[in-house]
Amino acid sequence: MNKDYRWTVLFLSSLVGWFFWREINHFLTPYHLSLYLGGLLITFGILRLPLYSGLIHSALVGAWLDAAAPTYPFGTGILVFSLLHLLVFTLRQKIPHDTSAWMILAALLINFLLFLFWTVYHYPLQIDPQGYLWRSLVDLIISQIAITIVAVWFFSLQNSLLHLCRMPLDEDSPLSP
Amino acid sequence: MPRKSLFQRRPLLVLGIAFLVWLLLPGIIKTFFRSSIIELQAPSRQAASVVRDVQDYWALRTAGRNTLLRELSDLSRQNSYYQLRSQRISLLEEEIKRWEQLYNLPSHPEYHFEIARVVQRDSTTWWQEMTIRKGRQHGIREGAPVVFAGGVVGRIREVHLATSTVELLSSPGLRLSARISGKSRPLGFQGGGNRPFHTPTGKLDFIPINYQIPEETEPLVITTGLGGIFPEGLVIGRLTNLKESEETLFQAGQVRLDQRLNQIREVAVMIALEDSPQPTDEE
Repeated sequence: MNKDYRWTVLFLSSLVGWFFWREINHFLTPYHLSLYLGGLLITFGILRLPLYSGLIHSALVGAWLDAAAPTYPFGTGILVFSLLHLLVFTLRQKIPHDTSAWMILAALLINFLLFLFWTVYHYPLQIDPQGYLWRSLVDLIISQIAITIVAVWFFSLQNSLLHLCRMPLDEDSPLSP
Repeated sequence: MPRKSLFQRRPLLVLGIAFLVWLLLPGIIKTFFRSSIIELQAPSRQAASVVRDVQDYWALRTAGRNTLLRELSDLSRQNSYYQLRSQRISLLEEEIKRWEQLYNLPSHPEYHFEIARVVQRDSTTWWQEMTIRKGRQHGIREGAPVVFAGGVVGRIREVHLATSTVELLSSPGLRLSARISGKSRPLGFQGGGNRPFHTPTGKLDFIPINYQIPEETEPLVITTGLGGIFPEGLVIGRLTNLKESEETLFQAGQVRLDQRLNQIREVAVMIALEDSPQPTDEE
């Protein structure tokens, strides 16, 4: 039985990230802009945790985001996040996944794939496809910029929380404070 | 070499099995799981909203005495005006009731307005909604219309214990029966235009081919009362342009919604009073 509970700490840190993400979106609403940071929340778990511990974390984050989503059945996000987790996990041995620059690149890629999936998924519902694509492009750009800015802080926060809870990573992370 | 378990050898297979189990899981369990997550999320949303209220309070505390006196005098003037309007509305309502009784017309449904503070606005690329700080505890019901000073805000999509989710008029999923002010023909409205830095828009379908927008003013688009959710006469927006449909013999129009829709801080939920007087055959 897998007794690795580091996903609990990562999930708590993801909730912190989710809280700030929602607050920023609240203040961006009058400008018709929004951020999507789903990829940022799961990147650390995919790149630094063992397979099943990270997979539980990704599925839980998917469920957390799914609950408030009105346009698709509950469970879709869990499946998408889990599949993406497995896909990136199989690639992680081939890239130097423990340096901060690679982690940021991975976060950008994961976020892009998730954003692309949801954009295609919601496309048939739109009455103004041109406006929808324009809005999607602007939202994607600002989301990727936001991830580039906050990713290092967020990964350090996750690493620090793991150290605080006496559940450090197997090898010492370059992002540790 | 240690022997690997099925979990380690076949992660995709394990995920597939987990997905099948999830699909076969009874709906009630999924609903319970989802509701539990939403109730867990509620306190964090409310806390953020309360913090914003406290910030507003302290910002007001720093306002100078002269500013407050000026605001007070403006408010008293507005109060007197609205008292007169209220008296006039009461008289008109009595007159309507008299006419309804005289001609044995079905009476308009009566509503109780539950004022609610906006906790969180969520206007993403894919959906537009807001969370309000009133829920099941306060008698809010699913599907209830939500309005503000500028007209329709949307309808209640989901009700939780102390919060509710409002689907905004600009959301692509929201469709309702509408008409152009001054015309009686019911048309179909659908939300959905949300370009960045632009006023939200919607689409009005089935406009007769011979209809043209008057040059002097953009006509109002209002609710028809059909469909049983929104009462008649609530403002949706203004019809700004028309486009001939290639598939049907109708035109489609763009409706410009109120630009305050994504900045609202307080809304009113219309709760139908079930015990409102209904006309009887004897009358």
